[in-house]
Amino acid sequence: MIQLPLETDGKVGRRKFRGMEGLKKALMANKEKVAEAYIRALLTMANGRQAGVADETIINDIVERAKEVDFPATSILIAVLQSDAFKTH
Amino acid sequence: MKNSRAPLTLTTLLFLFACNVDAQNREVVRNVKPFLQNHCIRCHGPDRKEGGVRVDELNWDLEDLDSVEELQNILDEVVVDSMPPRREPRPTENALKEFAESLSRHIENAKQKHRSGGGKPIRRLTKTEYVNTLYDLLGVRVNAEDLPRDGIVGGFDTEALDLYTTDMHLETSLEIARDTARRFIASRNMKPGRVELKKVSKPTLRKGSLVVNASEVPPAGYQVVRLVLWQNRQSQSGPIYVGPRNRQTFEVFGTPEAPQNIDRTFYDSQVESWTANPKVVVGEIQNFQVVNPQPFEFFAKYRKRYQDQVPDKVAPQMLREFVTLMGRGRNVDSRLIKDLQEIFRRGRQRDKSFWEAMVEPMAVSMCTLETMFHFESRGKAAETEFVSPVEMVNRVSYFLWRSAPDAELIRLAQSKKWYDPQVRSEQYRRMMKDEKFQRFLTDFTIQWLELERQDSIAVDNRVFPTFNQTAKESLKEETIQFVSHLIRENLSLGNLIDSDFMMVNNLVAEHYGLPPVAGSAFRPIDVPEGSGRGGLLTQAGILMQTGTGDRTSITERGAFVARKLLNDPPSPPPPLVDELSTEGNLAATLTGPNWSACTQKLPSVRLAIKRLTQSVSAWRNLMGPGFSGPLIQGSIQTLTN
Repeated sequence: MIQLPLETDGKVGRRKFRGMEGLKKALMANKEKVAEAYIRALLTMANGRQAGVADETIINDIVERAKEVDFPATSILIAVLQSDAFKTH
Repeated sequence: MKNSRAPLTLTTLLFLFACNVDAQNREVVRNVKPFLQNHCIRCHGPDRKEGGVRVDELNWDLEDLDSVEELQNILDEVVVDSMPPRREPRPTENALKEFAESLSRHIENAKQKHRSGGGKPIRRLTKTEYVNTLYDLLGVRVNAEDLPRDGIVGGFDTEALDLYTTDMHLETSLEIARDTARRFIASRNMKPGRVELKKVSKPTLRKGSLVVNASEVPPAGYQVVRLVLWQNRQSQSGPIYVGPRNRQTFEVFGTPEAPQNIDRTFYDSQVESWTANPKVVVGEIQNFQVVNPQPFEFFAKYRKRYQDQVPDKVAPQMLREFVTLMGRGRNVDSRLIKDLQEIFRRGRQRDKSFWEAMVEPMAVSMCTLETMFHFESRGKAAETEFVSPVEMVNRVSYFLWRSAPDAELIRLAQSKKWYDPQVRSEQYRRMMKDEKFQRFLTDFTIQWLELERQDSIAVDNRVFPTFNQTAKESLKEETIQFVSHLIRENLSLGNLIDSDFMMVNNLVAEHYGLPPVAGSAFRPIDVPEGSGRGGLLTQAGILMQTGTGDRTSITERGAFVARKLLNDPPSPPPPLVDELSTEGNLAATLTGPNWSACTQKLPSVRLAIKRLTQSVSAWRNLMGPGFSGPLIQGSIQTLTN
């Protein structure tokens, strides 16, 4: 069996990286993106529809507040529960 | 405003009215129109309509969310420089800037108008929610397989668009509701709580299998059967597993001095056969205990007063209480009670016993609009946009528990104590400590990260001879437990990318070649130095689901990173991509406009095809390390194009 070396170079945005460790570091630099994806998923599940433009104010607001405390998962979940998305028709 | 001095004619007025464009919007339209005319309309206009986009028919209404969404898409395409395409004349930097700014401002205005989110569609309870609701309210476990499937393909099962209701659905639900009512009624004389059975049987072998017989499952609730077992002294080589046929996942570590118990829970009477293992001694099988749920308190006061001879005149009261239970805190519609009473009366006329006649009205009340739907009446609150406390606790409960609110939540809502932020916070915490919260954690993780893809992937044992098939379920569970731990412990979401802990049980630890741990329960451990584990991306289940069973898929891996970790979902592939075969010359099947649409939209596909067509066999050899191998370049590059 032929064994070839793996190509592990890549880019996240404009940032280049090498290997799994490099990928993780590059993603860590964009941590608020994971938070956005998480909040978007929570809102989609809760609202029964895809989160869209109308939800972005809520998402950005929560991300901004969570950033300072390094995006704690439960606190963000509670913030979603307390957002207007949950209280309004 | 050059034209503002011109006299307004009736036609202009009508035109303005018809378009519903206020002054602000008009300015936006005027600013962006030349750009659209010069650079977009040839392909996205009346003639070609590429990708279903027509820039001459855009709706600039700030209220219309769908069109705002469309404008956002156009803006995104232009900002990331994928439109206009490279073969087209390039707009000047100034034109680009002006266009992007005007459009962003317009979209920002629209967002401001919808600060509280985009509203909630009315939807039916999902299958899971309905099953959980009946279990939590009545203690009757319905087999989810008996209900029609929700029309979900991927994504969240709560999506209203997929939750349609058919005649067949209603009919099946009513059938299940009748069975549920019968079982609920049949349990009326049971004592709520745990009842010890203490019936011990010597294990019997049938055709070389151990017979685990659950014969005393109550009509509602469940029975626990306990196996007492230990390792045979002679065997000291590696972990030993036992279990029902095809699911031998229970590790045996008990000794003759300290036997081990394995408890099995049964919701239906059944006989399970366990493959006998010569290395294991099963000392005894106990029909251990029967657990009846608390809802039987429902019957307590009638039982006390009438024993089992309940007079007909009590039926309306009993039905009202039942409807109240199913109504989850909402006001009871007296007309419904009247109708149910009538059904009961007709049943009695046909010589049904009191309890038989109760089945149908109870079943009907389990299938009303109020029970089967998330039915949020506006009532007197029409002047406010906020939902009532009762609706709120329903929303929160169906979110965090995937089921109906409990009595405490309903009491807080009805007494309006729910308005107190302190009370709400306490309740959120309480709900997250309840074992029902695991339903949310499990369902959310599976649906968000699309873990069900793992079920349809058959790992090719010829390519991966070391893959442990019995570990497959545990690998999915690893991810569920990982996300659950993260949320329960309020850890940083950064852990999804990289973490210094991982969740393992005996099978997972063995699969990763880590020091052995005992038992199938998951627990957090520190990520061993230099193992490269930690975070979602190096979990075997995630690596498996972003592959095809015999090799990885750079497209899938790239898309996973983009969707889940960078919140940048790639657009759906053009129609032909689904039909791509992995054999032969792929480029040949994609020619002309299809090819160009494909490669333009999905650079990763272009990349994948390029590699595959070069040499299929060399490609596969790259996959040597198996599922645990690192991501490869192609999967990441797609993010930037």
